[in-house]
Amino acid sequence: MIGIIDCNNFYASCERVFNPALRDVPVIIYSNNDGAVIARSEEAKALGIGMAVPMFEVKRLIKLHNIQGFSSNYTLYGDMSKRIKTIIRTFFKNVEDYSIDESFVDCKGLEYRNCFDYIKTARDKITTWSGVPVSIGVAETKTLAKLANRIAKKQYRSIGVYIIDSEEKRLAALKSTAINDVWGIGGRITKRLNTKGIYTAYDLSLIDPDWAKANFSVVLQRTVYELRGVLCIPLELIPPGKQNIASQKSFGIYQTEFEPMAEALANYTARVAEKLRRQHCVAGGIEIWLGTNNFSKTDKQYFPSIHTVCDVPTDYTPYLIKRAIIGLKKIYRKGYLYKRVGVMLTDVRNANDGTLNMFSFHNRQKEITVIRQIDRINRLNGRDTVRFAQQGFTADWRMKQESLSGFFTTRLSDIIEIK
Amino acid sequence: MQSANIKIFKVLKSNTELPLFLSTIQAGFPSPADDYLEDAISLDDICINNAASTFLGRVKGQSLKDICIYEGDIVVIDKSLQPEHRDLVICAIDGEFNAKMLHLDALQGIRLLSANPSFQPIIINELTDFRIWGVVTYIIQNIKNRSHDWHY
Repeated sequence: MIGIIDCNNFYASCERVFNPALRDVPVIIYSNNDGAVIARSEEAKALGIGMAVPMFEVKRLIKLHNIQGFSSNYTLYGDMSKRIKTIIRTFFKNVEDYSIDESFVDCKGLEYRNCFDYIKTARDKITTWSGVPVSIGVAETKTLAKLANRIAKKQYRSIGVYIIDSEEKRLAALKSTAINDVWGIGGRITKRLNTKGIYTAYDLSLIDPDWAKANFSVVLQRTVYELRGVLCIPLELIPPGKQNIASQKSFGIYQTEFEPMAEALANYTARVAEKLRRQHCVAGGIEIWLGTNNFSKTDKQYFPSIHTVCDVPTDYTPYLIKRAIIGLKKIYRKGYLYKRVGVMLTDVRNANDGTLNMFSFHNRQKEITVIRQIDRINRLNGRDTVRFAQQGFTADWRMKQESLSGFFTTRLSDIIEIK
Repeated sequence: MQSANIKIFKVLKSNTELPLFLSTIQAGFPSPADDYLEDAISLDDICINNAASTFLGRVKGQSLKDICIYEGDIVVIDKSLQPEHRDLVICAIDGEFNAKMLHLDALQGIRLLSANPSFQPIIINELTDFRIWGVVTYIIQNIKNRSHDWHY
């Protein structure tokens, strides 16, 4: 048996944990740059605020219904996600972290004790320990577990647990689910399947898997098998290797000049370098890129990128910023309206890798001492208390985050106030 | 007197980590202490039992002054603990976080007490909008800055 643990309205729930005034009030979260709604509480959904509603319409509804809107606070959501995943691991040994708010868990062996009681206790504890309500769906396969989770959310919200452990339950779940609510079935495939008379998950489970493979894809074939209770997508328990670390964000307003973009790039580089050090890694290379607005039909388009190699694999922010700016100088051209700049650290390896360069003098020990002190000061007093001159102070480029809540769990100046 | 339950530690300024090895020169005679060094004592180990469910808050106001908790103190809150009689709990009342002493009594029901005579006890009935958010486990006080206020 496989379970999926899913946080209910994760972003809105995180805001609620640290702000009791938001209880039972409609809450919505904006995307980066406050350009659209990306998350909603149940109350906001009930008011009909869809994900695709344009911002001017949202602004009108906010006034009308006294909705609380927040800029996305990924610092907070990321830390809460980490906490929840730690708590999950105290109840389940084998866990696959699927996304910021979803984890698959191995429930093998639970059938020999009272499976429901165990899952229900775990669900209640994850909810109270973190403050974020979660739902758990359990079934033979990942795809069926997803269906079970949906039923837990829709029909057994206060219990928060649903287990498909019998053939009747499986059939009932399949019959009550439309195919576009099945895991991995997108809008386009839904339309094509509908023309063939396939509307519910039950219809889908009855089609010939080989026909699905021949006419659609191996992915759909797998879905058909999984809906029948045949496990095709196992848990991925080994975390993927050290990946490249990247940061790209859109500017609040279009940029044309070199200086503000260099400042933005320095800041993004400082961010990825911090992340690199948190993972105890060094980077052997750095790639940067620029982009204009690819949705504009009238503006001239330009999407350059450049990759440079570090003298020695490093995690030292000033060096990485220097390399990034040199790269930016090479690809920057005047006369474009730039929408974004991005940076990616490549060739990421363990910090004790020990690769040296015989042609460059390098005082690694001094770098470590300096950067550790800076990280410490910034951790205690807030990000960028000590910053590199290139990072600047103007931040005209910064994305719009006008309704950002506090960093309640990661910054001492923002912790909750108790009367 | 509740203040008997509160222990106040004076925390001296120090680096939280001690080096694991005192000698760095490999050619010389190793420090005889190397074999006897242990991991540093960490304040986290003392104050935090369940890190994933532990949060910090800052006290505002004087509602706990009789148990020697004052404005500006940092409270360590564990959300994984089941609230018990006489616990200092954080609860959400009217959209704000409050620290109160939880009293569970067969005769008087559930009451939330402040440690300050100018605050009335809150009696919980079915209609009260209240929820316990977490249990306070430790208080961090800056004694060095406060010692000037003492009348000694």
